[in-house]
Amino acid sequence: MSAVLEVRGVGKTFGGVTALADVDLTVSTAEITALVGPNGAGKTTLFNVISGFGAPYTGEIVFDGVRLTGRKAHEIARLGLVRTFQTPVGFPSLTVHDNLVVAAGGHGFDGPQDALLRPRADRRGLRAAAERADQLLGEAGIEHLASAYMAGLSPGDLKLLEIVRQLASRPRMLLLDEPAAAMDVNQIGTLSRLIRGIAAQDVGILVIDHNLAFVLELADRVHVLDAGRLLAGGTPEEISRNADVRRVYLGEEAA
Amino acid sequence: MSTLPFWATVLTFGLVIGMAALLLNIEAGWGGMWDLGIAGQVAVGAYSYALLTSPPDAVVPGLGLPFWAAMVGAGLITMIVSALIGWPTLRLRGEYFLITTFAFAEIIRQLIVIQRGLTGGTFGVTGIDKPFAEYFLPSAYPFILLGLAAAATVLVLLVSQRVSNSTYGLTLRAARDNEPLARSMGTAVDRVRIATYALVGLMTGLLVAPVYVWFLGALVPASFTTHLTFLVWTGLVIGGLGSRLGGLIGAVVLTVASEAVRLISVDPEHASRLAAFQPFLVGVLLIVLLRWRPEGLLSERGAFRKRAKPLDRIRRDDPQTLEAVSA
Repeated sequence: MSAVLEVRGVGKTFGGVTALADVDLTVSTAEITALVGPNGAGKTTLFNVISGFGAPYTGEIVFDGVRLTGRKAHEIARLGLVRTFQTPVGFPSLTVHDNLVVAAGGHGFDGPQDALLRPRADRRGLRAAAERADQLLGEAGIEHLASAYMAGLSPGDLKLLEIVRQLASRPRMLLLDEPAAAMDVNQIGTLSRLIRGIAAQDVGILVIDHNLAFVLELADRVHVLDAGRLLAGGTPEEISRNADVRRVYLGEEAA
Repeated sequence: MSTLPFWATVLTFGLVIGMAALLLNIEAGWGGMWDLGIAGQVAVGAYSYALLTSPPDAVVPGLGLPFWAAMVGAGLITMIVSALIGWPTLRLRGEYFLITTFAFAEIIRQLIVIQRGLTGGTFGVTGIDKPFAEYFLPSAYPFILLGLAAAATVLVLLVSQRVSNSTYGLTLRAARDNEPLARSMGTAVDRVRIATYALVGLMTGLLVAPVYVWFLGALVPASFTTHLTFLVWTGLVIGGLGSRLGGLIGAVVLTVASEAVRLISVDPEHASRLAAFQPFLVGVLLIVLLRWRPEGLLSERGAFRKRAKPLDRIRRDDPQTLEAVSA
């Protein structure tokens, strides 16, 4: 277990509105870190900032010893820090299988040079990515969806696929943006098992959600964000006992 | 009089538009870059070819290179010009990209009109070097030209097929569908798009423009108006945006159908009405098609459908089974 992502004093403003202020956060591999907070607390803004979609910002973010400030989204993804999106639309005109193939080969898929000048190597790359896609579909138990399109999938399957897809590139760390939204109780159970399995393979996980029950059950460490500031951090037990959290998050009056 | 040479020439033109449509399909169909500057790229390639082959002592002096060297030169020049145009414009999205490429094509045409010393202005470039023309009778040359056009089409088709079956082609379609997601899996979307624009420029200058030049026989700026751009687009839309062969089939159907109108013999007094019938026919063809086959004669899904196992097919077509299976 070691720190893989360090967020130090990160701030972000939109015009005059402070979305994030002085956020400090550390994520280690082999455990699941969660970030909770009510709507508008700045969870997704923090995700965007970390994954390169939210520049510019103040403070510093370090991933695996590399400073992320000023790097583009695709460069950050290539370092092994991969995110999911809240709306799991995927690539609508590609089959489920091709969705995973793109993800599995994403790093090397850069331009027409290889396709035209080194067709054999290109075919090999495509075949390797296709095998990885088959394997992932098998592991997630959704082989039967291989030739379906996004539009034909249930909301739960879409959410599941959003995670499985981003696993294809073998990331060092996953940022999961509301993975449990639109899922029923059974699917949430499957999801929790999947996420624990990923963490067990030494992949760092930071998950944001406002389903407090899901997060407290899943995570090893929980941070609570409110109005752009970290309110509390600790184990799920500590968080569920924390009076500030209960007041802000559950709307309870302090006793 | 035999109409065969006429049809050979019509088909040659159809193949020129078809090649351009196959290339447009790479950038617009798969890449999502709705380019309205095709005529500009073809013009750069065509004038490059003409000026590279034109003898130094001609009315519009050139370098007097052999045709194959001029084709390569035209390809490289068009590729560089495309990349230079693509670099700023590809940062724009949707209709802004569309209108900017449109403007660039018009700028190129106006430059050709103004730069009389270089391009012959509105008088144009005559005395085009047509490959192998000295070996054949003028009456037989339309068939030779058709053969050359067919050979060039095969090359464009090979490139297009290679792209469609490659990691690059898949990435291109993915970035079109969902750009943030493509970035989040490590795709350098901007670089892929500029490279695509440059590839289309290279193929346009190398193959499309020279064959168009041979077909025209003489170059004037009027051959590179937006009419050419829309002809290519119409061909591609009829054939099926995003399919593999749609652009070629659509363009050939379109040109042959609209030129066939010329063969209807009417009294001279009705000739102008017949001429007006030609764009009317194209319009009707397009409306009928978009009403009953909005994806075009061929479609992207049809083109990339994997040979599904029977089980997959049942589940895909039946949403209820799909729900049951995934629950």
